[in-house]
Amino acid sequence: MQKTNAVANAQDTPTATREILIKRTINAPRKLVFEAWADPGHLKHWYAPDGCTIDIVHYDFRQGGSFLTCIHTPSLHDCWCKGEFLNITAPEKLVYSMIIADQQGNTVKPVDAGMDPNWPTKTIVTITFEAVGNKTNITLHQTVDETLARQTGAYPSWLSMLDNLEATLTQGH
Amino acid sequence: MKRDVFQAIADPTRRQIIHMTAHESLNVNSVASNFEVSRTAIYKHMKILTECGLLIITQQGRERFCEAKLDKLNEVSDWIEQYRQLWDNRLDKLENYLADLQTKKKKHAKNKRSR
Repeated sequence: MQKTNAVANAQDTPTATREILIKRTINAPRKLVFEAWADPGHLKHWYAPDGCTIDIVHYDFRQGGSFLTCIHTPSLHDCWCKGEFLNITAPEKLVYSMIIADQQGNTVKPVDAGMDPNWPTKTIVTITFEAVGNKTNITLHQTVDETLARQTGAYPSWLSMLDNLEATLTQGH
Repeated sequence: MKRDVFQAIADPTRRQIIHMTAHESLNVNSVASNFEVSRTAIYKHMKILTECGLLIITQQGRERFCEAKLDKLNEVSDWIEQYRQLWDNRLDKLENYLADLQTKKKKHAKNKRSR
């Protein structure tokens, strides 16, 4: 296992660009790593964070296809997420959108989902898979697809969010 | 020991102290009197919050006032940091899952051959 996040972060200064960039080398052939993303049968085994479970309501893995998932957190808070597969180039590249949603798959405002109003409703995730022998280099890039109206001084919303965050944070630390 | 913001807000009493002092500077004693636990316990919580940079205590005459310093909460509310942790965790799980999967496949192949 090799983590190069720290290096990537330092180079890309994502807090300035409002982007996430993560690089990882996974000890598995590229075809398999890609399949882990493409096949919901694989996905359900790893896509939910520690302590959470995931329901994959639908997962139409083709270009233009959509998905709807629900992650159940330990605090019994359900995080519904939908999205669209924007670009599928097996086994090299995968681009999809992630949108905060409700059970019916309607777009939901971050505030209504118990999140900070500055939280983006829609993000785009781009993953590239590079074969290196029997290993795979993953580059994961997540960007915001909209101009964020950053409300400076929107502190009260942060406070209301703290309670929701508790479960995830105490678990990770 | 270095304390971080995440640890600071993991406790309900400390979160309540932040709530109370988020909008105004309050007398330390009057904050403490809102809780059922002892003042000493509340002062301990305040100390932790101060060490994390979430609370500032100032002396004004004979009284001490405290006020929440919310800039630090950026670390928590920032979607980038949240998503990064999420992906880190996910990719750890992906690695473990694929490692298991490949071990099983190898075993399966061996069994086939030996039959």
